[in-house]
Amino acid sequence: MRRRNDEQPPPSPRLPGAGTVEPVGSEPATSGPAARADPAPPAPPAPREPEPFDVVARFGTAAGALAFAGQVMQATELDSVPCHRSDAEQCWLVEARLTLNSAREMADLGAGRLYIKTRRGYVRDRGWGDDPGPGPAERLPAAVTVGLLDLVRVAGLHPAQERPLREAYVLVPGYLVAGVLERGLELRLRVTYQQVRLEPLFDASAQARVCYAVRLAAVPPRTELPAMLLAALRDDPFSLVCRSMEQALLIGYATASPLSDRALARLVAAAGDETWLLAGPPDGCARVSWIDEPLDAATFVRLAPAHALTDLDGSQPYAERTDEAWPPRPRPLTVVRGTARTTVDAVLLDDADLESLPLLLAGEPLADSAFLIRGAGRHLLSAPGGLLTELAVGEPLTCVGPGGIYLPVGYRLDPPVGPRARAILFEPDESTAQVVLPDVRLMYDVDAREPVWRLWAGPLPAIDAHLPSAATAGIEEVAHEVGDRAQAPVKDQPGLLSGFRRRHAQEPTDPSAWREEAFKAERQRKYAAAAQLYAQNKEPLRAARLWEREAEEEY
Amino acid sequence: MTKTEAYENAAICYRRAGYEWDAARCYQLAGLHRLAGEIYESIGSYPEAAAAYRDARLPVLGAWLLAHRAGLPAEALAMLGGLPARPEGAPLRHRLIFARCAIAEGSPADVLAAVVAEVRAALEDRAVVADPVTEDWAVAVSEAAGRYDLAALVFAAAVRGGRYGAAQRWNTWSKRVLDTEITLPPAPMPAATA
Repeated sequence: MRRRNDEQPPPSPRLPGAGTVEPVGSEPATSGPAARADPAPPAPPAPREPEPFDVVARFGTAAGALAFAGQVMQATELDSVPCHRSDAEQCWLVEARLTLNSAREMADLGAGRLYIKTRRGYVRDRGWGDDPGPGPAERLPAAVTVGLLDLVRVAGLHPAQERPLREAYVLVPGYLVAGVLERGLELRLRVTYQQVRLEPLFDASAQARVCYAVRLAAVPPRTELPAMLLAALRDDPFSLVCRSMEQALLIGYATASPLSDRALARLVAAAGDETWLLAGPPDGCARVSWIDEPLDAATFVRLAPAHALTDLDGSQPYAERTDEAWPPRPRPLTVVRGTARTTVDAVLLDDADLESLPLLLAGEPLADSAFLIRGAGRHLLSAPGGLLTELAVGEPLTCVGPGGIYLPVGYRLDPPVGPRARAILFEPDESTAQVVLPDVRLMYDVDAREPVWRLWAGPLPAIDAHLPSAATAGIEEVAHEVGDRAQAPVKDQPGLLSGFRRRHAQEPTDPSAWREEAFKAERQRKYAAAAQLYAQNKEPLRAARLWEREAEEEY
Repeated sequence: MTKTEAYENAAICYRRAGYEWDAARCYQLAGLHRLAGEIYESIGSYPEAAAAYRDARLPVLGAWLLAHRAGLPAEALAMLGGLPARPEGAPLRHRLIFARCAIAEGSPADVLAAVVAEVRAALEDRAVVADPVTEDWAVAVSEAAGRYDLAALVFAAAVRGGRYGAAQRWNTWSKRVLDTEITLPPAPMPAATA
């Protein structure tokens, strides 16, 4: 066994996390942290699982080696991997324990060469197949062990297309904090600031410094920080804009390391540090310690004198005097807007509206059954079973029940009360109708109603009765015989005529008697009976409305 | 007379009087949501119909109406509990609704290909008990996307699968949409294909 680097201590036994690349012929499968973490598998069952190999990947650039190391850390879930630097051959070596195919893929990523540890020593991988191939054992370049952090340092940061950020940190000296806070607040961002202590990352003996970290975060509905603000802050030579990775990492805005943010965060955790700041030259890298707690940016907003704190003085509506605290008290019942119901059961009219009723209703079937209850200046127009049609005049009302309780259409009682409570509060009876308005309750006597057609239908013309001529002659003859007012014409004698007229009046019964009966049932809140009458008499709409009222008023 | 019966009677009378909307409202108050939904649908009140179907525990029908008739894809998806992470695993009816929503939101007609192919496979397979609405919905979705070819393929699959009245439906559709009659060869007997 030949030593490649005489300055190095003997390699075995190997310490955890340290190690050198061993030349050909060292003891197989007994050394290396990867081997410890992932012990040699038992005899492979068929079909054979891919077997892990101890490999060394050689890279010409630190970035390539770092990308490989990052992949290995992700695949093996280790916090670090052994790395070595060869000054003589200007190359980087990374050790790992991987299956051959994974190792090839990862090494190819950074254009690396792969060496596999075999019984014969390290063999250059041929690039295909289940084993490294029959190549000769090769000597690896002499190298010194370095930490992954060295790789990070040498690989540096490269410019990256910055994706939209939800939050960012701006590092500024104290005298610039207020300016940044103000800009953030003007853009309605969530802004806090906190003092931080920065210790140089690579040289622990260098002098620490302090500054302030201002955290800018987007507030919904904004989902990202304005890119213009970040670009402007980045161009400011006195501030450093960083994106953060779970507060473990602050990375210069629009830059990235070949090692993924997540892997870097694991390095930070493995090093036992709180946060690392990584930024390209000339900004510098540091270990960050957060001092105290984040403070709100509003501290620096200048307030008017009225913002000085005052004592509780009795003008606060949320606090009552101890003797005033009281359980909720009943409110006067009123009507407010708030329902989609549009059924028109009645209309409230004033005197002017009455004039237009003949134009609207004369000749309509509704006019035959509708009735009007006159009041002092305000009159109620309704019909048995409800009007059920919108008129162009007056204020439409809907019947909420129980009985004749009407509200303007689109309004409801406030506070809301159910049918049982309404029955107790309003005490409805069959001879009254009540109209509830915001400020007043109008009461009408239903028994004083008159048919609406009385508005326009006046007295009939005078009757000119015509008896058959034979009858007239007979009557006059009899009269002549009894010698009683012989020349008086028959039609001037009302006693004779009344019999003539009565004969005709007795014959037909009132065809709308059922309607009166239905209205009586409705007033007595026997809606089902009324509805059946309407249904039998081919008025399904009124029947439907009454069934609905039957359902609504049930309690 | 219970409240429910009274509302039901009211609904019957409203229908007799020609007041369909009020009838549907009363049926809903009577708890007969499906009937209410059908009436709302018949008079073109699709959002109300969808709500009634939802109350009748038929949210899929409601979502279809919202997506296809009312043009409210967002509400339709909400009724189905949102778009799942893996829509491929959803039932066929749901996927047709997702496709209809996608079309309504301006997606290209390509989104239909997979689901229409699945509908066709189900219709063509005589061993599968036909879901009566998937044929209609697949045709409607294809038509909405302007893909009459896909609609015709759905009908053809239904005819091949021996679905009752499929040829008649195809002809009616063709006359309505394409303004042309189609002539189909006599359907093969199931035994001949076996």
